[in-house]
Amino acid sequence: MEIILRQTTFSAGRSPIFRCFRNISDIVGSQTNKQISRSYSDVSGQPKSKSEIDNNKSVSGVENKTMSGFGKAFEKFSLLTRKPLDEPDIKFATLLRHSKFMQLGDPQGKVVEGKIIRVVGNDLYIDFGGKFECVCQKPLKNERDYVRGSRVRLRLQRLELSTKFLGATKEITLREADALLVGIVRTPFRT
Amino acid sequence: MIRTIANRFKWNAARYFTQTCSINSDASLCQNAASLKVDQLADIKESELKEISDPLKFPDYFGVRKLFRIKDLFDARIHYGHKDGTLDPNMKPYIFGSRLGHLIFDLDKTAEMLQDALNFTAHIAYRGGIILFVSHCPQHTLTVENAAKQAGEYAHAREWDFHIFTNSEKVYNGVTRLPDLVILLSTLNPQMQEHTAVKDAAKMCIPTIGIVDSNSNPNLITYPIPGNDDSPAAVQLYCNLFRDAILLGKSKKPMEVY
Repeated sequence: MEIILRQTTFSAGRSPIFRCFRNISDIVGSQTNKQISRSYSDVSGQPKSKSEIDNNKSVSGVENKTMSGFGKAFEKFSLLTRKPLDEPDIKFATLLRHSKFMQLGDPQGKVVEGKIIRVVGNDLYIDFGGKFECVCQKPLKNERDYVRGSRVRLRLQRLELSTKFLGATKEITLREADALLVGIVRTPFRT
Repeated sequence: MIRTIANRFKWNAARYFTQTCSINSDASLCQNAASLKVDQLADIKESELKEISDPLKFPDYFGVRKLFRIKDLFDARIHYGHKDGTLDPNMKPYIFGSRLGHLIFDLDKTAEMLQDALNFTAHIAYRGGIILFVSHCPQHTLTVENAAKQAGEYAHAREWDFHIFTNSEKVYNGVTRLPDLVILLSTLNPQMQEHTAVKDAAKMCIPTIGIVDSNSNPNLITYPIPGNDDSPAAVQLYCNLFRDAILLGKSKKPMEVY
């Protein structure tokens, strides 16, 4: 089936016709693929260049997965110019199921990598991909390494600091995560 | 649909032809000519006829649907809500579920409501309305003000003065034109209470668009958008989307009204 797909790129580049051609091949079978491709290229009215003929010859004999010349260039540029809107939208449920957030499970004790986004005095504001960033004290050892843009390793405690105070019906949130700074991964100063 | 537009054209065409009929001033002859023209008009594509009529008749005249995809919302962390304990009961319909106490928004619902809000914004901008971006989170002040500047609209990202909507004549010493739309990037102030702009805009009959997190109340907001309002990435995305919608609305020239 892959051979048929590649043959169609030589004759016509429009995606609806591409898809339709694949269905015909499924019904008809692999024997008549050469016939179909030839008649299709006649319909399109494009003059067959030498490279196209060469490619057809090479492909028709053995199941050849490598392309050359026009076909290769066509595939490369069609991928570049294909706008993201042409591809089908991934469903939210799928995105969530395969996200790191689901993989994390209980955040307590999990080691993650974060990036320092702000340094205010002795405090480091670190973003590890969650809803909130965590705030950690700058360690005394290797103080120079902890600057904005450094990547650090954290041990998470909680993703959000929110608790219910005595007598309250609703919790109060600090809009901050809680994590322990384990060490440095990469710093912009040293290589 | 085409028939109603064709009828409208019949009336307009008849008027046009009676005015220009200089050779024969007989009104009936001119009307016959107009009816012939209408049949030709009926052959014109429906899309062309629609272009001449009201943009409000279209579900998405400015193409705001193309501004974002669910993957973009996901990458900007819009699906993250607060914890179970801070949930406002009015937000329950928009929650997908709770993962170990952390709430997740249903991005399918969010996307739909975001499209409606962006479409509304574009229409307001198209008709030359004043749009005010409001936010009281100090972390996002720069993002909000920049977005407003790029869109050519207004922003109020500082502490809200209580009387600016309800007593504007006294505050500004004269008759003031209030905004035609208020976009709230966060409906809570730093004290975790509802932002005054929500109530005041409702009092002054100004439509509002608001990003409501799981701890906010969406009741007084005209176009609520359930989503994360705390992450800087999320706020940046919202600002970009609203700015793009406004610029899309402004890019189309408003048609002449007959």
